[in-house]
Formats: sequence, structure tokens, C-alpha cells
Amino acid sequence: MKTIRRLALWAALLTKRLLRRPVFPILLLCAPLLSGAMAIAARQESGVITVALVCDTDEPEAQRSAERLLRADSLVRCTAYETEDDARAAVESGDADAAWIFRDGAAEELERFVSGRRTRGMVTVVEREDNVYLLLARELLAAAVYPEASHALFRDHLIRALGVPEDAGDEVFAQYYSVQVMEQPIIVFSTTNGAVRESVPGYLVTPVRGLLALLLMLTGLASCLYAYRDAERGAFLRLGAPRRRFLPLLSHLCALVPVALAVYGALCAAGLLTAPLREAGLLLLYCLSVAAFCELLRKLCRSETRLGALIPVLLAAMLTLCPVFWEIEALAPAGRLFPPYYYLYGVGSARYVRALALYTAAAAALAAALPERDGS
Amino acid sequence: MRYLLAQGKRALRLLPRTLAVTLLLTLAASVAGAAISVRRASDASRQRVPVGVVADEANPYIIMGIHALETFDAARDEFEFLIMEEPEALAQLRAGKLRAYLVIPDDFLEAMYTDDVHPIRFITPDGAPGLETRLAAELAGAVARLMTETQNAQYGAIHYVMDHPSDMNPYLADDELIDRYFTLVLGRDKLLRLETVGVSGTLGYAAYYLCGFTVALALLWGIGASPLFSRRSDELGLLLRARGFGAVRQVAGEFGAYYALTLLGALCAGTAAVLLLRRFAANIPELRYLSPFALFPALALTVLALGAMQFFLYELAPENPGGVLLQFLNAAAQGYAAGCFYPRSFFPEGLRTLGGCLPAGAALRYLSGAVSGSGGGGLAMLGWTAAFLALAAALRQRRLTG
Repeated sequence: MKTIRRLALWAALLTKRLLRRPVFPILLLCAPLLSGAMAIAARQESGVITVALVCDTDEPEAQRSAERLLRADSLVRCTAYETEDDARAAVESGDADAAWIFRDGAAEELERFVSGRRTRGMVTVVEREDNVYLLLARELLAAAVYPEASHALFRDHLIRALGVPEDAGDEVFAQYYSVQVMEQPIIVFSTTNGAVRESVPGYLVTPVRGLLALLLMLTGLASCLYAYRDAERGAFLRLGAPRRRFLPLLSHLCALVPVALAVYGALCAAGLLTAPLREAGLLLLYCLSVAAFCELLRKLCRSETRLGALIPVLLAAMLTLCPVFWEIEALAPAGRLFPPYYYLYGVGSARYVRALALYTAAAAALAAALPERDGS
Repeated sequence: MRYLLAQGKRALRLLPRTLAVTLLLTLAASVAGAAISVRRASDASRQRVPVGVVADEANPYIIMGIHALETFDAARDEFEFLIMEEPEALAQLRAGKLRAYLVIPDDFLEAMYTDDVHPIRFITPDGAPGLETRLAAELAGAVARLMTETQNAQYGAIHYVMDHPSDMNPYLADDELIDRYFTLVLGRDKLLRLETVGVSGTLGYAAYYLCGFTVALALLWGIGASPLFSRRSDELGLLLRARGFGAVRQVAGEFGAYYALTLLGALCAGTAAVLLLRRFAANIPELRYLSPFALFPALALTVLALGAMQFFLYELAPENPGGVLLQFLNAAAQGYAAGCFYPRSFFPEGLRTLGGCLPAGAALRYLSGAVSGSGGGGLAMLGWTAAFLALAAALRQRRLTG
């Protein structure tokens, strides 16, 4: 009991010396504020690909296709442009990633296509270069135009194969091919327990969790720098060597806990929190892993300047190797060296939570096995 | 001048380690970038994102839809669609072996024909789905529309035959229709006429990301200087002031030393990166004919402006851990908003404008202009430098006068 009270006293004092400086609590408030601001910004209209859409014809097939594209809720954001020259200029200047141009003659090109004749294409697509997002955009364009092509093919089939007179009115074909206008979504996002997600956080908010994980990581590393300074000043020399051994680890945890609370608040503000209790538990485990990892690094580096020079390298490595902004399978083996890798995948997978626990134990054991700089 | 030299000597003690880790970082980043570039060029070694599909394999439209999904240009090299039962898909998703899976209800197409929607469920792990997962969902949505229209047409043809019986074999007519729809789906790219105008005057994506990563590294660099700034002493500042060496001269001396250190590291790293990427990464044509020295002035000015910002932030919060956390929050927030990680074109209009106004946004624009040859933005860099140094001097003055 006495030990626990002493431990609590030390934890309170170590935390208090951080919170005493006005900058630290202000920074803790900044995390949820910035996350909330990002969540608000993400609700505005945006898209991974910006397309300049021009419908320079009165043909109903082109107009209907253009309307579908402008109404679609998609990663591809279509903006209507008045003229083809404006749209091409937007692509060349980089204001738009691509231009989609419907001109007169679109209906005739469609007829030529469904009857198997050579065609110049119903839509002109202007791009600067190719990438996977532009490929997706072209597929969505093809899907928007497809109903027109399908109806044209159906009409052609009824005439050629089933003997419908060529001059039969549109109502004959419309009677048998009713174009469904679907107000409800065809695809819905669901959770693993079957519940439909009413709203999915925007793609702009997705990296916030990874950045907050790095913030915790950096807090641990900063605590190591602080621990070097304490050792240099002999701040805790009064303590016996066995107790002094665990003090840096306790310092790391005392720095991490307030930041973890701020991170939890930031996740709420960004709308990224899934199951609150599970998230809290995962965050606690992550703090332990960060503390163990940082303690291991502190003993390996042995000096403030060495660790200080390494911090930007570690941060850049974690930004690239851990799934903060992107997931690069080729670099996954290197990513497994860092705690954020397991934390970020652990949000959706129990396997990674177990891996994080193992990682923490391994890092703590290695850190405990390494001697201090003074040989203790 | 003596103070500048004294501060320079302090900074030089950090130089060997700083240069070593910077070069190591540059080497690792260049090798990783080149490795990814080479892997992406080689289809055989391409690792695709696995996405499960739970569907009725006896339904020919479902099979057609899945084949269509696999032949989409946007899907073929990025995703691997695996048909499986739902319990297996859920287990693999939880084990992290699948990124997501689709569940297509058995009556999905029939329901559509009667104006009802039994939606396709797209199951992802808990947490926000990433961009690639959303990409897969959009592609699946596009295929669902193809399947719906195709079945619409077939049902329509069948009903016409039922309403207008004739000598014609309806099964042959139906087979012919399905064949034509397969041809339509597989040849749908002929509906589009593609023109590629090239990237002159603007940067390609690879070069954009190179500039973005450079600015991000420059932003993060400030964190490594924490040992240099956290050991400053107010007493020394007061003593210098008493001898006529005021806040402005102190700031000038300290910043001069910090900038020299940073510039040396940046120039070494920049040269190494350009040489390595030019040799191994063919996807950045802007670098092919660019001499490494051509970018030195731009890099020097970028590092000057961002260094001044970091110096000002260390005046605000010199001690750990506040100083380090402030540097990181600044680097992360500005780097993100400026478009170092996601291109600015991904953002809404308001965030794009804000990102462009920030020092990191101005730096990215300036560096991008230098790489693409369009130039401009140097004045903004000098303006930010002057502003941050003036603020730092004002803060120092306030601290010295109590």
C-alpha cells in the first residue's frame, strides 16, 4: 500500500512538472481543436479527382449522362464548365485533373458503337497523365454513359433480332426497358457486426488517427530527451539505483497519459471513435508500447544529441512505413518495427492488438536487459 | 560576428550526427521510392489489395459483374477479388488478410427490377476506411450499375417475346443479347476518346510528391534541433544584453548558425536524393535532365523560410517536451494542409486556399515551380523569413526585459 502511494506521488509530481509549463497544456488543447477543424473542413465538397465537365449539345443521351455525373456522390468531383476551351485550359493549368466533353454527334457515335461499327467515341476525355484515380474516374464515366449504351443496344436488339419495326416510337421500347432512377444507394458501408454505417468519416479525416499516434510517439521520445537532462543534472540521485532504473519509464508514462487523453478527445472531435471502451483500452496498450519502445531507444542512443538527430528520421520513417496516409505492402516488414503500425491496424483487427501486446512485452524485456549508461 | 561563430561552434557539435542521419534518411527514402517505382512497373511482382466477394456463384449476372470488376483498368492492377463464403470473409477481415469484402444479396438484381433496392453491403474493419478501400467501393458501385442495366435489358427482351410470340427461337435471341452485352461491357472504353496533353508547365504526380516530401522533411527537421535550443540560457542572454548585444543581434547570431547547419544537411541530402532518384526512378521525368545544383538556390530559400519559422517556435517554447510537440504539431498541421501528403487538389476550396497561404504551402509552391521550371514565389519565402525573425527578436526582447 505504501509503495502504491509512493508511486502515485511520484507520478503526480512527474506529471505536474510537465503541466506547470503553460505551453504543454495549450498544446494538449490544440490536438482536439485541430482534429475538429479538420472534420468540419472535410464535410465541405471535395474530391480526389476534379473533372471539368462540358455538355456542349442538346442531345438527351449526353444531357442525361452529364446530369448523372454532376449528381453523383463520389471520389470524383465534377464541375460544369461552359466551353471546351475553358475545360482544356483548366486541365493544362492543373485546376482540373481531367476534362470530359460531350459534343454534338454523341448519339450517332453511340449508335455506331452498339451496332459494332467504328466509332470516334461518345465522350472526349482530356488528361495530363495517367494514374489509378484517373482510371477510376474513366470507369465511373463509362458507368454513367452505360445506361444510354445499354438502352441503345436493347433498341437495336429488338429491331434486328425480335422484328420490332425500325420506325416504332420510343414508347414501345420504354415499355419494356424502364430506366430505374434509384434514390437509394446501391452500396452501403457496414460494420463487421452487420450494422449499416449511417455516415463514413471523410477520406480527409482518415489520416488524423495516424498523426495522433505519431504525436504520442513523439511525446515518448521527448520524454527520453527530458530523462537524459535529468540524468545529466543528477535530479534523482537521492533515489537508490533499483528505483532509479524504473524512473525514466514512469516519466514516459506520465508524459504519455495527458497526451493520450488529448488524443482520445481529438478522435471524438474528428468523428473517428468507434467503440469507446475498446478504443480507450487500445490507446492504453499503445501508450505502454510507446513507453517501452522509447525506453529501449533511450538506452540504445545513450545521449541527447544522438536521439535528437534520430527523431526526424524516425518520424519520417513512421510516416512512410506505418499506415498513416497510405499502405505500401512492399514496406510492411519494416513498418512492423514501430508501435504505430500495430496500433493503426489494431483498430480494426484483434490480431494486431495481440501483436501489439507481444511487441510491448518484447520491447520492455529488451529495454530492461540493456544496462544504463552508468552501468546500472 | 563572434557570437555567430560561437553559436556556429555549438551547432557544429551536432553536425556529424545530423549529417549522418540525414544522409541515411535520404538514402533509405530514395531506395524505398525507387523500389516502389520498380515494383509498380513490374506486373508480375505487383501486390494487389485483397477484397472478398460474397455472392451467389450460380447467378450468371453476378459472375459477369465479378469478371467486369476484375477487368476494370482501375481494378486489375490494384485489387484482387476473391469469391468466398461470408463466415470465411469475416474471419479473414478480422485477421487482417482482407481489406474489405462485398456481400451481394441473392435477390439484388431481381429487387432492382421491381423498383426495390436490396443494397450491396461493403464491410470494412472498424475505423475509417482508407482511400484504396473507398476506391474499391466506388468500382463495385459502378459494376452494380452495369449489372442492373444489363439485367433490365434482358428481362425487357424476355417480356417482349412473351407478349409477342413468334416462330423465332427466344433462347437463341436471348443468347445473342447476352453475347452483345458481354462485348459492350468489355469494350466500354471505346465509348471514350482519350487525349493526353502532357504535364508541361505543371508537375507530374511523382515530382509533386517528391517536392511535398522534401517540404515535409524540412518541417520535421526542426524537431531534431531540440538539443540545440533547449540548452539555451536566459542568463547568457541578459549578460550579452548588458554588454550591448541586444535581442536582434542575438537572434541573428543564433539563427545564422542554425541555418548554416540546416542548409549543409539539406544540400547534402538534396544532392544525394536527386542523383539516386535519377538513376533508379524513371517515373520522375522532371529530374532526368536536371542538374542537382540547379535546385540548390530553391532548396536554400525553402530551408531559410521554414528554418526561420522553426526558430520562432523554439523562441515560443524552447524546453522539452513542449518545444518538440509544438514543432511536430506545426509540421503535421501545415504539412497536411499545404498538400505534402495528399495533393491539395484532394481538398475542399477553403482548405486549399488556407494551405496555400501557410508558410509550408508557399514553400511547396515555390519548390514545385523550381522543379517544373515555371519559377516564382521567392519573395514570399523572403517575406516569411523576415516576419518570423522579427517575431523571434520581439519575443527575445520581451524575455530579456522581463
